[in-house]
Amino acid sequence: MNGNQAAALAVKLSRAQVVCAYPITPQTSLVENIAEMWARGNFPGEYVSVESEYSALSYLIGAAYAGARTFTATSSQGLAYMHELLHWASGARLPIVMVNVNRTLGAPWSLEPDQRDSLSQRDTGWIQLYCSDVQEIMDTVIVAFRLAEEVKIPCMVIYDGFSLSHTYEAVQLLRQEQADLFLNPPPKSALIHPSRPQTVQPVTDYRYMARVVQAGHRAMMQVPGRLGEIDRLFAEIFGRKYSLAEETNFGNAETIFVAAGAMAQTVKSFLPLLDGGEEKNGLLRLRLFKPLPEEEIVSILNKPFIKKLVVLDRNLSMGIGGVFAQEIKALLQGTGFRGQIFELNLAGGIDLTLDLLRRGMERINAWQDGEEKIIWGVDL
Amino acid sequence: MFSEDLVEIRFHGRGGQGAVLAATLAAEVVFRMGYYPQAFPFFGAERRGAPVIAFLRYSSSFIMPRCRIYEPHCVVVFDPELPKEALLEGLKKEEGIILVNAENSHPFWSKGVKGYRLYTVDASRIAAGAGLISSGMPLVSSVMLGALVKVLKIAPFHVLEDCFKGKIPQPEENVHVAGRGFLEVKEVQSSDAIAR
Repeated sequence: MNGNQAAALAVKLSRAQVVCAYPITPQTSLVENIAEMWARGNFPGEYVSVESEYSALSYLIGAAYAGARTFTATSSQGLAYMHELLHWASGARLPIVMVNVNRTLGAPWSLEPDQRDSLSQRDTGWIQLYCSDVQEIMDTVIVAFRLAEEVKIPCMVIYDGFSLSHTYEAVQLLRQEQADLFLNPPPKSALIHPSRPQTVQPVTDYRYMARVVQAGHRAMMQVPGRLGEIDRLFAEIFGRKYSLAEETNFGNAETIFVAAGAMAQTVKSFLPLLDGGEEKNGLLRLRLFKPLPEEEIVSILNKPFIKKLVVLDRNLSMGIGGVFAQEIKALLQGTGFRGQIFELNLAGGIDLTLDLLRRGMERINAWQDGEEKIIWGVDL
Repeated sequence: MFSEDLVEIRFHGRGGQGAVLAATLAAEVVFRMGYYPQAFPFFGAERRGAPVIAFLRYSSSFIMPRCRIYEPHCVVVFDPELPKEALLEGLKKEEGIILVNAENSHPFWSKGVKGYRLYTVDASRIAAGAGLISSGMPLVSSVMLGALVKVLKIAPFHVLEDCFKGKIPQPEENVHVAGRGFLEVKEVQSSDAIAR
């Protein structure tokens, strides 16, 4: 099955009660799959069609206030259109789960798997989990429901358009009885109910608002620890082990690549080819991005033998550089890390090939003081 | 069939011909033969008639690279009139295989292609003859799959037959035309074909 089918099946196995979405390439087949299961009577919850992404998330905010387990999915322009409601969902602490399939934001029109759509929602207070293969998509959707409901923060499950959404590969299916064992029953804590008319989220002053955002931050800081526990439970029930940040370091690697999503597996497969098996290169795969698991990442990167970090960003914050690179730099500030940090920028959705990575590394290895530290994939 | 464990195949078609479906069904065939498959399409503008590319990788171990395929072992061509440069781009020199939907007398493909093993099958005629047509376009994917399974020697025919069940409409007609593709695909000798 492909990534979109895996996500759809995981939503069913999670017994989502309300799904509301609007189709957009490359997410389309995900909602089509759920709609078809629902139309055939094979989906446990309700599927609701609406006329836009804005309405989809609005609908789910209402459903989540009423205590339902909710799911939506989108991509690119669709996620951007949801923007103000993303803040509302996190401010109201509603555990909505969403899939975002990475796709370039226009203009111009494009379908390539650029990460700017999800990363430009970095500050909306949603958890972000990046997946690297189809199996992980299926597993992460069910993990996301448990995590979101435990910490009462909405959660985005993110994967690359086409290179995961449309990629068919062999996966081990989750079984319903395992999923039921892993997930708690849907939250019953309805904030609104017809029998108890009330106003929610009234106008407040800064004092109450300050407490709300501070509480949101503190809940977010609990996420790495809670996810670690959920990962352990997942491994016990399903037998697959995930870590907050995945390290591939065969020994004393001098160069560590940092990447998220499908690109991370691509780089992992290239490591022995890049250095002829000398084990001079390693990889840090970012899985939990929002919030970054600081302790794990610093312990992976802050080693005396690491001389270079090469952060692969298929995104760009114009005027500063790749978003992942900026986050990693901020995290390493004050840790004593002495290596150089380079960016290999693939914004626009550039396909990462072995050849491109080799040419990028030639440039990085020949880098001299004063030269730009962003190596542009488009120029290689 | 090929010297490397990781085999990479590129499918070239036009929107509506079934190139994407063929790649995913081929993935299932190799999966049933014990390989790890990975199949994915890339669309530009999604419309009928526009060039479409799909990819298939298979290997005896889990496949990690998720980039597109630039140096395939084999290209499968659903429309013989697609631009030749794009079809042959990066095709591996020594052992590269081309499988084309073309009639025997096709002005370009009947002459062979220097340095490659070329196979043709008249898939449009076979599909149209069996009534597999949509909006005037023969649905050639099953014929091409039958031919591909034969050319690459990846599976006995009945494995393909099993993959059709429950996956595609008109399974009987599709099994029939796949069988004809399997039987009728021909190797085209190039005047300076490489020794093998």
